[in-house]
Amino acid sequence: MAWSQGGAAEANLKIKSMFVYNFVKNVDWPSNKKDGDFKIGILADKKLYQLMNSTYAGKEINGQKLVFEFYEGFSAMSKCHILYVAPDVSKDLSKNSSKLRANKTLVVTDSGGLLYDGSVINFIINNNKLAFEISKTNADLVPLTIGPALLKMAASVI
Amino acid sequence: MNSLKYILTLIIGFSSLCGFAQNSNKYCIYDQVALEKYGDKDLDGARTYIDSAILMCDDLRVDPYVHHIKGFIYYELYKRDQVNDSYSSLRDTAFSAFLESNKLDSENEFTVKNNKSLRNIATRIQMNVANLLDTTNYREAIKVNNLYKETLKKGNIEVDNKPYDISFYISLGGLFVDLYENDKVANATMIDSAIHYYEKSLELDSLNFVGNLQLGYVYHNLSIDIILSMDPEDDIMTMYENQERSSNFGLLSLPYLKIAHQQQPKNTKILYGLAGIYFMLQEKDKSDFYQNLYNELTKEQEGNQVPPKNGN
Repeated sequence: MAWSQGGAAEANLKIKSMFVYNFVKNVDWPSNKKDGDFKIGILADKKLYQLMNSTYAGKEINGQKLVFEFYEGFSAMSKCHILYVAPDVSKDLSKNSSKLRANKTLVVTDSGGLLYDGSVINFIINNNKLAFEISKTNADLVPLTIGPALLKMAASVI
Repeated sequence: MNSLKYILTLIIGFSSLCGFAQNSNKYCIYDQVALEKYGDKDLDGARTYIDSAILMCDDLRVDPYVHHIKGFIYYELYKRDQVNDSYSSLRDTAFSAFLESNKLDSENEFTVKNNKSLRNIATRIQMNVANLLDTTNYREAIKVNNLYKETLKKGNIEVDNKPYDISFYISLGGLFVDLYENDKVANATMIDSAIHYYEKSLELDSLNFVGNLQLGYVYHNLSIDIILSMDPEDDIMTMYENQERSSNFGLLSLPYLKIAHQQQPKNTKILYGLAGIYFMLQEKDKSDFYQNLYNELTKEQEGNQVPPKNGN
């Protein structure tokens, strides 16, 4: 018997990608964001981008086709429905949060305390599992409507 | 006329009695003939004579030596004709003969040698079990192993069976893992059997290195398999449930891997596994600790070769 070589990293990445996909399905965007492609930006996490792009690109959610874009940094970012911000670049989030809010972007982060820097959903570790917390306040500011399934499963809602 | 009949009857009756006595004497030396045949490697002849001796001669039927010889003759026949037959009738007859010899051996002349032969027979059954330990014949291996246990009991054979039992359970565990990995859907329950047998090995020796390592492997891989086999379209509730199951398996793997690690702290495969499972459990600091140990040891052992990463 052999170890599932690299399996742990692959598994964790898969969980994260599935969470992001579920955010797409369980959040309601303003009506002016319901036309055209549904754009998901991945900031500074190439592996997550590659996995999500290969798994979900082209799928349709509420009549919108999912497209994925990868950015090295905030400066390269274009308007998107969801932006995942990797921990390495999240220190620049607060500087960009008003622009992201204006773009009606759901910001998903992956480091402690970022709900206070403009993030709407932040990944956390809860009892050895990947979980998430929600800032309903930040969601209301965009405005975004977080579905009941996400609110129920969130580790905390502020 | 009547008296003539009476005389004839007496003559015939006497002749018969003499004939019977002669036959009886003849059979009572058949054990010696059997021994000669055995010495000449005529095992079939030896078998015929020893069986006749015991059947036809009352004295030999209760002679422990004769049953001792019978045991050897049948044991050699078994080795010649049925050694790969797990349910050999020749082996059974040899076994019964040695037991009978012990029963009759009030002077304890043959008991030591009989017991040695009984042990040899049990060892032969163990060898049958070993030959059946593969993914096709494992059910038969379990049955023959039960036969081995019954044989020990029946023969009152005292052996330290613990090392054998541990090895048997670990081998079975490995077979069930192989069956599971060959088809994880069709053979999903096989992994439960693997866990069952690894646990049985650890009941006998809780510090057994292989048992701990293998059970740690199983739980580690189950933890990862659950996530990797999820449907990417699963809803969030299903994801949570699967994460919970995965995390539980990950936590189960830790104590076993740690015991294995304590015994072989420089075993890089165990370090790699520990780094992986802590990564899976979202404990990055601990994962990094074992990954760093792994990296250092790999460098030591393989020069400057770049080690694989768990991804953390």
